[in-house]
Amino acid sequence: MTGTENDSLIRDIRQVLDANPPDADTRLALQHARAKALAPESKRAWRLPWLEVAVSASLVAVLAIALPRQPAAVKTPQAVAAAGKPAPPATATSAKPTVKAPPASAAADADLLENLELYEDAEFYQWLSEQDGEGVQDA
Amino acid sequence: MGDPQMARFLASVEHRAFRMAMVAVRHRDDALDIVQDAMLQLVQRYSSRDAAEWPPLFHRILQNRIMDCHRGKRWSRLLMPWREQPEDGHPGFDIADPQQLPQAERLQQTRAMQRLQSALQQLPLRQQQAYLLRHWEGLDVKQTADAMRCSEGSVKTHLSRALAALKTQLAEDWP
Repeated sequence: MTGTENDSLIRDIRQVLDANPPDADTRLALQHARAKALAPESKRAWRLPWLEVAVSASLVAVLAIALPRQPAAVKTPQAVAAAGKPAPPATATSAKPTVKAPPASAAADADLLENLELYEDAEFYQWLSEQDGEGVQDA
Repeated sequence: MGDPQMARFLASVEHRAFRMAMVAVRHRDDALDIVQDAMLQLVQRYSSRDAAEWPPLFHRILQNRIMDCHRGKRWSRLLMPWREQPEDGHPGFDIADPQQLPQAERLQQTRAMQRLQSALQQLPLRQQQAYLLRHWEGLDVKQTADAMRCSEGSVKTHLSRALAALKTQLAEDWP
């Protein structure tokens, strides 16, 4: 196949393709597609995901900073004992008959639980100061 | 409505882009989706680029979408052979200015187009892409290679094979 034959075939094919544009329905659909692509909303649509990612990342960062501080504020004797320190004497709580463990039905009562924890904390700190006093005496 | 220069560019390429997609996927609605998606991607991602860069970028996106469509159909055929999507049989073209052409000439043009479309559809996809981008869209070999994400040597090989196949399929009485 010579170069001239190729050129002739290529020219003929191009002429036939150019002479047969898409039908009217398709041309209309292409016009709509073009208008949609050029509409300002389509450009915004490209930016929105980045905005969403930025907002989500900020929220995650705020939560990551804020959440770890909450458990640190509530230190129970059990948690301290688990960390390797001696637990407070059991008699300390049993000597106070007015303090009762919250009933199961009241488990949702956040105020009651909070009061109990505060009370246990107070006992723990009292016990801890006594231990410190003994330590000083030992030293 | 948007950037006028971009609007002019899209208007200048949309008909040929649709024809390329139509030859490749043989389904009018799929072809329209592909062209619309390519337009959207070009406007959203590359409208700030220099206008001279738009043709190869647009055709790269278009060819990627065509390949995606082919991959999707192949997986669909593999996974759900009972749900094979038939060709819609839509020719997707009109005779230009039918009022101005005599009946015999219109008929001849329609037949020529049908035979050409059939011959192009019988080419392997990469040969179709190389031929239409290089010899119809008018991209040079380097731009065609960029659009097809292959080497210039591959483009030349595809072009040579496509031309030989078209020459065989379109006999001497064509067009």
